[in-house]
Amino acid sequence: MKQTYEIGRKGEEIAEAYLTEQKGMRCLERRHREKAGEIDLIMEEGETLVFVEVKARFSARPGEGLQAVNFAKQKRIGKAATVYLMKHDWLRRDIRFDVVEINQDQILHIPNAFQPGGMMF
Amino acid sequence: MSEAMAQVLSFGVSGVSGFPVQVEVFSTGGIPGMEIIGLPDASVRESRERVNAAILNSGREMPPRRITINLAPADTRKEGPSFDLPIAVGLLAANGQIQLRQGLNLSRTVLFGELGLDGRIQPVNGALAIVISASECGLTDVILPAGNALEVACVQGMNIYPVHHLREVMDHLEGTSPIPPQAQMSYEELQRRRMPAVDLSQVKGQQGARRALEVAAAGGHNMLMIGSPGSGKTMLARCLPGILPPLSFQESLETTRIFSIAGKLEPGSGLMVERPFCAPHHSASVASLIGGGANARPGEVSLAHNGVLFLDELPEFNRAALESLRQPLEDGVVTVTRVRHQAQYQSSFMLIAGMNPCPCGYYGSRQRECRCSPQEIRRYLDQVSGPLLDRIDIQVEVDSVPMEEIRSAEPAESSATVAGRVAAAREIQRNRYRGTGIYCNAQMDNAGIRTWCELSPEAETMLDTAFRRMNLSMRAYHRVIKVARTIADLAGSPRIGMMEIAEAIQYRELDHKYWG
Repeated sequence: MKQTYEIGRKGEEIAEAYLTEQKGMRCLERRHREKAGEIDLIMEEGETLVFVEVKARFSARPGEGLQAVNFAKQKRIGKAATVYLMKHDWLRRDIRFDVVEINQDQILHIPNAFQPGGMMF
Repeated sequence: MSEAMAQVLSFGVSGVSGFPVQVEVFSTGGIPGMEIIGLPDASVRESRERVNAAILNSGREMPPRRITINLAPADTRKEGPSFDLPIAVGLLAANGQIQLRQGLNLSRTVLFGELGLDGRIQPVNGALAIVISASECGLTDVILPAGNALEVACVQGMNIYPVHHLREVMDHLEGTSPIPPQAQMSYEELQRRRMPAVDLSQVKGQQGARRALEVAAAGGHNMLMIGSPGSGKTMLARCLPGILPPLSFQESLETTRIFSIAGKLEPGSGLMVERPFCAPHHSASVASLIGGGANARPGEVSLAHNGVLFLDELPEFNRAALESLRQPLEDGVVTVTRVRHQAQYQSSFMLIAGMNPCPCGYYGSRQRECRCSPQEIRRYLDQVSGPLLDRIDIQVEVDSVPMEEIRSAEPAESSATVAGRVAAAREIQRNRYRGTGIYCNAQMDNAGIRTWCELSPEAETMLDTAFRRMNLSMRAYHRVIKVARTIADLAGSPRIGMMEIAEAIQYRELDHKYWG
């Protein structure tokens, strides 16, 4: 249990470093927790607000972490993001949902990985 | 860029006509996602995935935006994939992915077509109905799938832009490489490609049936052929479209429109030049004959509009299905009502029926002994109701042709020769009925019979005698006169004499012989 948590923690650090240094993003929040769910990283790229889900796997084939961000998970992140946006009155900003997959020393960044919006939000 | 809006004009199809649909695309910031509203059915909702892939495969972006697509009017159901193209163009415009060329008015240009994931544009059903309706709305510019181009090539006064790929549409709208409108095609040009499927010269013997077929064709009368198996009923029926006068432009538009909506048009074909020949199997249901299904699709009677509906093995048909034919036979139009849709389809067809005289098939045949009991025959014949028979003006017996006649080298008359006589008779009718809205003798009403069917005194006496002897219904009486009118037209005589009446009565005799 402890180990899984550590892997996740480590992954998020790697992802944040990668996004800030390589992609020029600015980190607003880490491990942001709402009742609806948790968001690993909230970043800013220019004017666009980016919600990042980090998946760290230390023995999987590339792409497996991505698949773990299933529909239910997307909905949960979307809801948490909505609450966060409402608190800041940011609902009409340009928003994106990214996924970063970390697999040993490989980093895979997928911008605009999913679009949880619809009539619910 | 925070909020943007785009509007694209498209058309939906309901019954045989199209109705304008405004595709509105609203793009804004916020949680990204896409929603299609305005009563879309499953195929329209799925268009989201096709459009997405098609745009990416055409080299443009789908930025993460919050997008609402509304298909107005929002209270009419939209179905089918034909909204893919207008949705894609609306998305590109709202997301600033294309810069429309100066002077281009998207609200006056009709767009429709199905998108493949690779951006290719596929043909859709009902293109002709859409283009005709667009033209009635005063619109002239239509961008449509290249696969539908020929079908609408004969519609007057339209600028049709056929497209194969989404990229072409973008280049056209941006003005980087505009597509030239396709050349309008004349209907005559299409007609020259016509060739009949079966020629009458292949039918040996059968003088009586051939003559009856000619009379039926000349006046648009319904016909019943009774005969043993293999005597050539089906073959005779198949010859009919070839001896009927060619489809006029107006008729072709009507028939092609119905075929287009039913999705029965051959891919890449133009307006139909051949009269339709529909031969449904005898297991056909009421809905398949008349029209029906959740969306009130046209049935066989409408697909046979301006053509021939051939019902082989008439008594084998479901009784209810046969009876349902009575109304379209009389009115030439059917109204199909379903929960969600109501549609009116034209259904002016010639009914040609074929049947055996008894279950074993050989009653009254020269060839073989019949082994049915009188009760069996009775029951078999009773499958065909009196009211339906009443509507069939011409009834003939078709018996097997003896070997000597088949062998005889003498070539039978060709379809072209017969078609020539039929055309002449139809010409007389067209002149007679000019401005009345009817085209042939079979469509004449009772008032018309009084005006146009002058009988010689002897003919009148003969008809009266026959009327009493055969116990004819009033409808049958009038129909005998109409057939006599056609026979007189074939002979080019203005008045109906004894000969014509005698022949017309003879086409009613079978009714008596079998059902009397």
